[in-house]
Amino acid sequence: MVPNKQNRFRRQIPLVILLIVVVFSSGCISQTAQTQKVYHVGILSNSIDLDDVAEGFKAKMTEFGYTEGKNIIYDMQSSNNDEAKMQEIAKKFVDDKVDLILAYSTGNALGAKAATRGTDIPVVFAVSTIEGNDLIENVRQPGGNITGVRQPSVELAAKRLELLLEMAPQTKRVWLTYQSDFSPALTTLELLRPRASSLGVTLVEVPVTNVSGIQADLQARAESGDIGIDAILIIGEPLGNSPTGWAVINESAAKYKVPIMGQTPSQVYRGAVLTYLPDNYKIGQLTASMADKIFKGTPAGTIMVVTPKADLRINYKLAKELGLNVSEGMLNMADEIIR
Amino acid sequence: MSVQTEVKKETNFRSIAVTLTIAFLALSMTILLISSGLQAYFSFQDRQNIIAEQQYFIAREAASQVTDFITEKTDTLKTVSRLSDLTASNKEEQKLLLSKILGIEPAFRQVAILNAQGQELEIASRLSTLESGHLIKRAGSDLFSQASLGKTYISPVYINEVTSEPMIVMAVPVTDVFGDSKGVVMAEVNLKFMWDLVDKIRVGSSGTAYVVDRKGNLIAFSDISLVLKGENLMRLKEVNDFVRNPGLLTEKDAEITRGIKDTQVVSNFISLGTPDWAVITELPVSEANEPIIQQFKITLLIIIANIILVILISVYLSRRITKPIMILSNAANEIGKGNFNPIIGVRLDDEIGQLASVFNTMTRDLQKTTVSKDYVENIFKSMFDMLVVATPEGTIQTVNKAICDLLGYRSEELTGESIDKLIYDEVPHSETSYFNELDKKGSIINIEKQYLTKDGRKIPVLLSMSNMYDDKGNKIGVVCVARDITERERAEDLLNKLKEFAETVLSSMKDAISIIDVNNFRIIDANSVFLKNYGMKKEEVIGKSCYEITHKRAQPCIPPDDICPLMDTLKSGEHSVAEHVHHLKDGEKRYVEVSTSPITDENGRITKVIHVAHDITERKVAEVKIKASLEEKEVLLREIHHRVKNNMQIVASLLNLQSQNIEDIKYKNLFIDSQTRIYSMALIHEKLYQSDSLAQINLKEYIDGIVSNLFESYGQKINIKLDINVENILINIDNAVPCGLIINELVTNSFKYAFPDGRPGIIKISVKSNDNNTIQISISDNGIGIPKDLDIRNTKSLGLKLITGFAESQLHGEIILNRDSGTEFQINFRQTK
Repeated sequence: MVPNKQNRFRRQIPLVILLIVVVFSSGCISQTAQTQKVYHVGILSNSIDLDDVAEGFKAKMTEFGYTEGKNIIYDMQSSNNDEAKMQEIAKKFVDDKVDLILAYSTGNALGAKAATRGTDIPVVFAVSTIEGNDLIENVRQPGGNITGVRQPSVELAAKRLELLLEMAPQTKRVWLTYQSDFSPALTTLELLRPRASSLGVTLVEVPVTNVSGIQADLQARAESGDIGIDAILIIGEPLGNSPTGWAVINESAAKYKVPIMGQTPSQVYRGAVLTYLPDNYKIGQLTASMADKIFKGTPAGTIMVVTPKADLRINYKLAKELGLNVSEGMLNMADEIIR
Repeated sequence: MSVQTEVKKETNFRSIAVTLTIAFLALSMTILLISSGLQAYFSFQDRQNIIAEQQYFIAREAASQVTDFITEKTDTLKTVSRLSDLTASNKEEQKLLLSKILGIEPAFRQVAILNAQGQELEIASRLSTLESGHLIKRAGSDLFSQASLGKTYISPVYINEVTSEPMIVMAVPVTDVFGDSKGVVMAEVNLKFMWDLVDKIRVGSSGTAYVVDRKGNLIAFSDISLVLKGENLMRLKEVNDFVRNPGLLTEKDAEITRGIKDTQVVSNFISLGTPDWAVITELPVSEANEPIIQQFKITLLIIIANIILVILISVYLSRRITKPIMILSNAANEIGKGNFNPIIGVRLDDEIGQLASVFNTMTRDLQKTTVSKDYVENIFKSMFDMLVVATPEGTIQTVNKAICDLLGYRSEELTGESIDKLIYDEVPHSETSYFNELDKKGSIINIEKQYLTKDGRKIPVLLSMSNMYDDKGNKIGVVCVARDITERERAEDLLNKLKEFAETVLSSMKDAISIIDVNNFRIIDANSVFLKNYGMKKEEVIGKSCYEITHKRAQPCIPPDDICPLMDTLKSGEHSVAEHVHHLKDGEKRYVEVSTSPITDENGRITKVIHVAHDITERKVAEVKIKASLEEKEVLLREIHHRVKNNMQIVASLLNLQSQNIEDIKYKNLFIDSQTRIYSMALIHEKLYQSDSLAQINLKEYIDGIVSNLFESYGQKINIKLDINVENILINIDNAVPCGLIINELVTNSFKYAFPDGRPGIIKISVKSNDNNTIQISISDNGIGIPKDLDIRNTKSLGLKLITGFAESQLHGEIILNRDSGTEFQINFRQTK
């Protein structure tokens, strides 16, 4: 009896030591063994002109520790201003159960919001106007499962007109076109009209339903012998900013030496004498900050919508070719001057 | 009751080793934990102080950066105020100046110059002209009161209605050279640009910093949404301390509070003074205490390692201490089981050592005085002999395994039975029975009896019995020990049969055979033929020496005159044979061939010799007769050879007489040739009857005879010399005749033809024998030589025909003719046996 108890006690010693070692080693192992989630982000682009947003987004996400192909995958699709295609892409993202949709341009943002309704897929928008639509409930609390970086094109519309007139003070008739049913454009016009009136200029409004309408108006003006406009103001709406719409407008402007106040920053390199809106790359970086918060558990609808700073870009060379007055004060304020 | 007590004690048993181990462990662990706990506590206190210092420096650095941001903006405005000569510069210049400021300072949303009356002289704005007027409204009346005092004005933070971004208005006074206020330069500053600055402030690796105003509103933070919400942070202790204690510039401690992200943090604040804000830094507790946690982990690991070490040492020490006790305990258990063998090998100079020594003494005493039942049973069980213990009346009490195995019983089948069931007795319980004999003698030793198996077979045994008595001499039993002798009897039987067989074999042989002891040459056994030949009985023969019986002499045979094969066998160790004359019973002498063969013991030493005397008397008599007959025939043969030789000499003489009448030299030579040939043959017979052996002659003597005869016939007439070189070779008669004729012909040719016209010359005759029994005969001369075109095998010459015929047909040899210098004939042949 005594030897048996002794033996049992002796046999238990290595067992106890082994148990202690196992407990500690398992604790260490559990600390190191962590499963890394791979995020799937659907990027709903409007056109190649705005794809700097995606670039800025990806760059900032990388800074946050999301490495493409490792712990984040991007599915970038472009609607090319085709609403049907936009809806198809948005539906695909929902079917793929992506972790987040980044949508830029107002139409795409609205489409993404509609497609994700009833799901828990968050939407981060960019280059989208929030005026005149139901994209968000309000800036501080966007509501639903959406947030983003708003495009301050409405409040900047008057300033943009002022900058255009400062550069072309002889202007009396400012041509602008817009998609007739695009509500943010209507809101913009509501702000613009009184300011134009106070500045003594006439807004030559050309509401259209497609790019052909733009072309028809400009062609009619050309055929009349007097184009009848002194400057062109591009506002935030889809048709004039589409590649074909912009090409039509830019062609006529160049032909008749009419200065253009562009909408998107890239237009200043492609025919506009100046633009005054936020930089798309920086906008993309801002949306990345929001996406990071969402991935870390913050509901998108509680993240306040951000307004980016507008950058003044002047195509000084073109302005001089058109014989425009570029004041020193304006040049001092410019964020970028193209000479 | 006592049994229950025993069980209870058994159940509650705890090894003294376990008790000691637990005691060691408890003591060591208490010391270890107290010392480690104290060390951890003081380390924690030190770390808290370090964290507080670090937090303070981080907060001070963050505050410095925020202050620098504001200072930079106010300095910009102060620069503008100095450049703005409100009385001299026109609106264009002012506009240009403000535009430049707006261009280089992105945080400025609007910049304006006001005169002393508060009227806007010029403005540069990122907004449209319609919205610019809000700037003066935001500034309020404090702006001018501060400006009149020459102080910089910073408005409270307000939120832009459109963008919800935090804004402030700051203004610096514009004065003339006398210091009188002429107006202000003011700017609307978007604090959003301070966010990047705050966002870049690093507090540890996961900490954060933020800025609040005097009301506790958040105005800069990495999480912009919180700022844009205009969140008030009065709920946080540090913010609350800042808001409620305007004079308190900082809190230098490492207090753990709830942070902006609602997590446990170590936070500090630094009041900026101007503007009336504070920078709060937060470091998560987990990070702040990480060094402590790391140190705690290391301490824990050390403690665990120490615990393991303590356990091992405790176990080792307890085992070392208790091992002698355990040995004593185990030894006691063994003795309790009846095993008195254990000797305790504990050699300690303490009480346990003394106890072990006493224990060993006790064990030795017990070994001497006590024999256990198991011990006795083991002896019984391991016995090869069969054991039965019976009562004095013969009732079996105990049997061992050996008897059960042999007889096919189980022990219980025999116990209680009469011993007569086992021991076969032709007349049980008779006066002569073994039991009565035992009663008379007290013991019986090694009597041959038979045991009865269960199936009735009888097994021979060698039985010993003895009575068993108590201390008072009373018979208390009978002990029977028996050994199975079946194999022994079987071997004895076989040995007897072998002995009978050997005697039968020896008796059936015709030769007289005896076995002789080599030590004294005395006969130890003899067969019937031996006894019959010498007319003696075996007992008369045994013990007597061999030479006494066979040679009738008193001394042994002494070599070399008397060859003793027995002594040869002793010398060589091998079989030996010799012919002796033995004297039989009636004095008759008999020739015997004695052969002796050694008989060795297990060491290979010769101890006896088999002496076989084979009677050869008849053979010896026959040999004498044959020898006499042969001698008679030899005499007759020599006479024949003599007479043949005489007859041939007569023929040769007749030819000689006949040739003297022939004048033609040609025919005369033919007669001479024939004479020499006959002489050659006659010479053989002469040599034969002169030789010891009638079958062979000496070739040298024979050739000398032939050549001498030829020289007399031809050589004396001319100047020819002979050179004879013949070895002493014995040649048989079959080869001698052709050899003699060949030599005769060749030497004759040389005499007759080699030296014409009296030319001198030498004839060489050489005969030699090689090892392989080949004889080489060479006859050469230095004469003129035989013609070159002469074919010795195709010639009409009788002499050459005889040479080739004898050499090749009779001797089966070869002829080599050398014509280079004179003539040489060489004949090689193998002599027939």
